[in-house]
Amino acid sequence: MGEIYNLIGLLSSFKAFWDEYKRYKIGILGIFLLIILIIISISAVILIPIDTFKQWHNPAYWTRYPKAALPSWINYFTNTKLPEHLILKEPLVMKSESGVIQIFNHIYTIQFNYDTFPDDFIFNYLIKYKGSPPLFELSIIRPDGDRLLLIITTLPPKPFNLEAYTFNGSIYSTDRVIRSNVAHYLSERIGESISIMDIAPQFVIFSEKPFKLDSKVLKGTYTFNATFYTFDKDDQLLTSELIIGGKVFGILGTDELRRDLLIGILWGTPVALFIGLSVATLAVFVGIVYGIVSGYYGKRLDEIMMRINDIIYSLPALPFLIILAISFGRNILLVVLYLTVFGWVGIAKVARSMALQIKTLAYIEAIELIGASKWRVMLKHIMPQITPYALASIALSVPSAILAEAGLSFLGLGDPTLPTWGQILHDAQLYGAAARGLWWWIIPPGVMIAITGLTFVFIGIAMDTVLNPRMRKI
Amino acid sequence: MLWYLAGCIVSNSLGSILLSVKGLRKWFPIRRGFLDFITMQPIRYIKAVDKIDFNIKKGEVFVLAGESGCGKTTTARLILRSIEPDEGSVIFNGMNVCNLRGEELKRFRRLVQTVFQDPYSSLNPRLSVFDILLEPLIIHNIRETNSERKEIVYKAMEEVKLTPIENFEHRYPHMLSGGQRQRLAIARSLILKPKLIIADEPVSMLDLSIRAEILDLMISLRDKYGITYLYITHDLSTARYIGDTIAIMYLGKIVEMGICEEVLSNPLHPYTQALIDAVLEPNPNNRFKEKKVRIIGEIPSPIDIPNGCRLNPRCPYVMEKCKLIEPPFIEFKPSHYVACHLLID
Repeated sequence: MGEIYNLIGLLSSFKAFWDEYKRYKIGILGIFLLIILIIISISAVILIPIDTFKQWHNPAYWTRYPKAALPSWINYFTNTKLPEHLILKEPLVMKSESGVIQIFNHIYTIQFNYDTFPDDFIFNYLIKYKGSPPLFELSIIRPDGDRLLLIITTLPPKPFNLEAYTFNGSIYSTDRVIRSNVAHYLSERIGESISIMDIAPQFVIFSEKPFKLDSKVLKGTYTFNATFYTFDKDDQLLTSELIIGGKVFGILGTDELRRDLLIGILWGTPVALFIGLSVATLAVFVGIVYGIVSGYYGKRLDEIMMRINDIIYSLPALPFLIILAISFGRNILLVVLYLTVFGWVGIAKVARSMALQIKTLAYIEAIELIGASKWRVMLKHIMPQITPYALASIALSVPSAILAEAGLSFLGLGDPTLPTWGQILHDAQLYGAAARGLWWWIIPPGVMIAITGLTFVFIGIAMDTVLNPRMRKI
Repeated sequence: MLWYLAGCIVSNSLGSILLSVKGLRKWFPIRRGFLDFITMQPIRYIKAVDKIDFNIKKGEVFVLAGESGCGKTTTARLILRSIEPDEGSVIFNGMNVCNLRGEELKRFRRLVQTVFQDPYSSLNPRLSVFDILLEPLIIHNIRETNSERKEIVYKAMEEVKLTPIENFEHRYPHMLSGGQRQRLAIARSLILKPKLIIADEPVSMLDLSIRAEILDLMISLRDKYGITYLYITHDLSTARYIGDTIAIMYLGKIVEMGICEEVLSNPLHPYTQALIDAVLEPNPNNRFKEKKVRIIGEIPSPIDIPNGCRLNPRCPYVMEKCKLIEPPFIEFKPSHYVACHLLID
């Protein structure tokens, strides 16, 4: 019975708090932003496989992505449409047989309606064969009907000790064979012999006629046709993939290390929320307990505890954080600990002054005279009075924790296994993003840090106004 | 008189002394400024309680009366060991309160309870009525199971007429009226079955209409459980209503002490006479009757206590002697003590 009533009491006091809270527009805005951040965090955790974000610092994982590509929506705002980086994995599959020979066809059709040439293209395939090495042919049909044979080759023979051979092959547009075939095609069209050293295949393949140095892009439908001839009925073309190297990619583009910034930004959200909330909660808890003990015991102990507090207060936090990160490690939990060490002091001061005030109230004396122990007085009779303040100061401490972590990461002292916004900024700084005008590498993490900070500032201010009635009069 | 006797029977030891205060003194040093320190000014003190003696008998209501600032509340806090005395002793039930430590002190806290003046601030606003009453039982580890404790809490609520219980147990102090809060405070002091309850102006913040109700409640509890009260007040009308013995305090000293009825009807000390005169006269026929004794001016600061009799700057009967010699505290009539030069001659 009692518990149920306590719950009702709690709910009704929460309702009273909410009724008061929602009168503050700034608080509503804060809650709205917080909900968005939480949705982003949850969707990042659910939608982006944890493997992807673990690969953040592994350059090999990102080779298929473009280098420093702009966000793709930039095309809506410019006259020159930049080619989008395409990673195509779902070709039109055709298969025919004549006797033992099987013919696998993977056909990729792309609409190329951009104003500049793609950077390159790559074709990857995975094939399994038992018999003689298959024959592989890659050709392209341009919008004007010309068919270019890019490569025709035999795959390497199956090693004799294997029953079946799974071969992972890659064809790059910069391959000598392709350059030679394209040079041949070009010299036929313009009647001059062309050295293959002068050829960048994409500038020919995607070019208008007549072929000149300043020719524009031929817009229209390009068809890449990969044909494999195999000589055993068990042979299989497993998968293939066509990458057209473009200049724009995804919602937030990529960085110099070809990483998809969207993944970094999305995964940075739960990481930032975790750091901010855990540091704030720990720091506020430590600060409040310390402040209450100091204020309630008073006298000599208070004096000693407050001088210790003053010493930590006056330490320059950033140099110490750097030293700590360098000497003890950069694990995210350690970073949380370091930030807590420097985060609790201000709260302890406020909690102490509140405890000094509360301990003079008659009901504290009353409970002491009943015989309550000092710990009981502090935990049951002083702490609950300070709790509302604690909640507000948790919200207000989150931004500084997030900023401090971003600062550490920016200095290259963040957890190396996780992407954080600070680290994205660090890398941007390292590759001179600002000087090179790679704004999409700098603005989104900066904005996210600012928005997250602002969210908790809004919530904190509104909570503080509701919970500390003295503030309202000022 | 029947209730009085009943009370004595319960206490079962009529006249034996429960609490004895001997030579109790508390001077609060005044914080000196830096200038005072370098000019070697002597430390000055607020002489809140200056060597007082009194005994409280089992089962009686002992009234400690006096103006604000005369040291009544400091006396109570000294008895409760809320502050440490500079000198003197408080003997409760044969134990010297000033030397109690640990478990003994906790036992003393259980036997001596307090009811404060302000029922609005003496109850934790975040605890429900039930939790407020449960708190002392938890602190003193009384009864193990929740149902047993619940029974004790409900009984205490019935005792102070916070009924129907189901209406009150889940309320918070701010949902109660002043009288209900004070009854709750009394229930809290009662729940540990104390021997002595120190009530520091328990009705002065309440409406006149409910004062009698609270006082009657206190008396009925005394009769039922043989509780002894130290009742602190500045209001002699409630003192007369409830008290058995009264001590009048002035500037940290007791100036007159005796049976309540006797002291209030035949006051010997000019200060007591003045206090009684200050009580509003309920009978309109007496409205033009001249007050016999008027004391002059304000109560002096307890830092600069006058030499000789402390009342001398304000006393209408002041003599040369009063300004030089402090009057001794003598038994002028049987069990009626007074400290005044007028009565010595």
